[in-house]
Amino acid sequence: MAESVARFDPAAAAGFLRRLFSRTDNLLVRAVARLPAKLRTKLLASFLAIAALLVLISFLGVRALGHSHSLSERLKTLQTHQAGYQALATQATTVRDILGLCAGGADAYKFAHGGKAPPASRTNQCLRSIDRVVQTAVADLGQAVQLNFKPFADEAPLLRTVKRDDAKLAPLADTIARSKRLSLPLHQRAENLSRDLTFAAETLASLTTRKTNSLVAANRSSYVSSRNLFIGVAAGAVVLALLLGYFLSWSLIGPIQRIVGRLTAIASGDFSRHVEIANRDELGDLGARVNQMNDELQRVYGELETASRHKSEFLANMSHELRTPLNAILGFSQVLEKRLFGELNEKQGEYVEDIRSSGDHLLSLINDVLDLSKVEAGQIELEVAPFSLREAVERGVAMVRERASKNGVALAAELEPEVRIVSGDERRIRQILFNLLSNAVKFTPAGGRIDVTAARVDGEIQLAVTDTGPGIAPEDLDRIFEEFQQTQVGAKHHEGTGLGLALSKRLVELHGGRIWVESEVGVGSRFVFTLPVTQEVAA
Amino acid sequence: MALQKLLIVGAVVAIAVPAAAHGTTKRSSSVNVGRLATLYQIDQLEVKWHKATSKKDLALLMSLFAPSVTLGINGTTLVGKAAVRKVFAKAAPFQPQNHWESDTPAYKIRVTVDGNRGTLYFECHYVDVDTGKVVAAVGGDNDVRRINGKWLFTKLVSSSVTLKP
Repeated sequence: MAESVARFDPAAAAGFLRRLFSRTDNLLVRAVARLPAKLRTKLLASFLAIAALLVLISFLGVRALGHSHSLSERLKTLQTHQAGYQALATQATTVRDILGLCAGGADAYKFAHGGKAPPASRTNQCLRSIDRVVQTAVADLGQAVQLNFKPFADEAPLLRTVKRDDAKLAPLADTIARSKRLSLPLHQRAENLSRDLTFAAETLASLTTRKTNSLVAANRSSYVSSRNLFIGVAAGAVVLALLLGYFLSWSLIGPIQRIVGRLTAIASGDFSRHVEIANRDELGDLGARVNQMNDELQRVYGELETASRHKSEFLANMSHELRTPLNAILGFSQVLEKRLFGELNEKQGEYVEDIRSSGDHLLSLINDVLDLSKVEAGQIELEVAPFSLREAVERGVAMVRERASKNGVALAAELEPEVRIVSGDERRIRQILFNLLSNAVKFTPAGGRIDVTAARVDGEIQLAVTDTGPGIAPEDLDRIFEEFQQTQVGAKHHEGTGLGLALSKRLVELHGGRIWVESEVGVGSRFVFTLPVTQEVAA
Repeated sequence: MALQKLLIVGAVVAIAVPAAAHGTTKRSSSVNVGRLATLYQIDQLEVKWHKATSKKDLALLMSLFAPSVTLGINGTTLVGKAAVRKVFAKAAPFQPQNHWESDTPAYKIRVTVDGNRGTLYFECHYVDVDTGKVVAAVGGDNDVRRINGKWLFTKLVSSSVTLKP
């Protein structure tokens, strides 16, 4: 039985609170996101909710002010009544006090004089001494009874008593003053009336004072209550508005961040996942479209990969098939060129040379196409091993030196002393270097200069081929590393296949390096490629 | 994390503050209870008056008067405790040869209260225990005031006894 009782689990409660205010896994954010309404509707609803809170605060403020004003008005009225009744009570007390001077008659005398009876004329003397004073005091009381305000309902009965007693007291005081015969009963009657009147007036004054005090207390309490309510509602409204803004904004920002993340992944070629958007608004639609686009791109990308692979395989096969007959053409043309089977006339010699030259060009083109296809098909495997970069550079330079000197171009190589042994596929790196040097020799006019440099920069080997050729136009810089793309100058030379730089770029990237060109038309070009330095070689 | 804590505190405030504001203190009927207590305290002046006159305890009687008390009786107004004491020292109930006891019927008392001020009207019937007869009936129309938390007579005015049940 005891086990079935649910126990409070602080860890679970903390977890729940954490989830409640988590941005990524938030129940309320998810609930807002899943509301089946357009974004515009959600935003409008939240603005209206905040506006409603402001209206509520304003309403409470106006209500509190109105209540306070009402209390002030009532307090002012009460204070008027209080002043009037106190003046009335004071005047009534005066009349009572004067009449009280001779009150009690013989009993009062006996009380004050040890029990002795008063002389016969004692009371009359006393009464005679106060007659005129009583008349004047009663006249003043008559003035005080004329109140210049309307009494409240609960005051009316007492006030009626006051007026009734005053109406009786005034003629009685006149009678006493005019009478030549003194009468204790008349005084006692006046005394009774004045006592009743005083009591009623005191009660009225007391009642009004109590009501005033009660109203002041109520006003104070009302102020405290209104202030607390106002502060509470205002604070609550601010917090609720913040919470509303928080939940609404994260119901928008969260999905947008997830969509951006997915689009970034798609841009980098990752089509493996879908973005999960719980929203039932425009963002939900956007998420669905992104997923649809992801699927479509994945399909197209797959088809492209297949097509590219087929193309590369086709080119590789074709290149191989083309080289076989071309070898025969080149071989036999060289045999004829060397006159191994007899002399040729001048025209025949010229044509044979053209056949051999065209064959060389075609072979070079086929070799480049074959290499490029292999790279694209992933069939090239680098034979990475430590080698002397200095020797590789010197051999590359040696290969073009003759042609350079024939063209009247100076060629120099300068390697920093620390550039010695690097790790890579020596044959491919020489191929890259040869491509760059061939282009430089090809385009540098007589009197020009070609410099090959190698240096260690930022932890990698940087090789550069600088020439004083015609330079490359800025609009050509971006496309010269693409297949079959040549500069305008290159196209005029009718030399090259337009594959050399594309192949060099692929080979550099296979080594984990980069290649780029810096050039200025009319000044020259500088082709640079980098090779990463492996730890053991660097050491 | 700081934003999360802020939001948690904010949520608690959002719930707690309006609730606290709604539950503001309301004054109960303690005002009426306080008024009844005051009426009782003023009535005790009348009780002690009779105790003092019946027991001939002038000191007790004088302890009921404020220092500036006034007394109007037999056409004379006396001011100050010393003057009033002289009158009461000669008053019949305090004379050794008199055996007077006094009391006030319940219907002959009237009390009003207005803050720290009030009125106390009562009519005393003095009975000679030797004869068993009422020898004097004197009213007192008095003002009272709360001074240092204690209700005291500030003005005594004699009056005729007129109230009837």
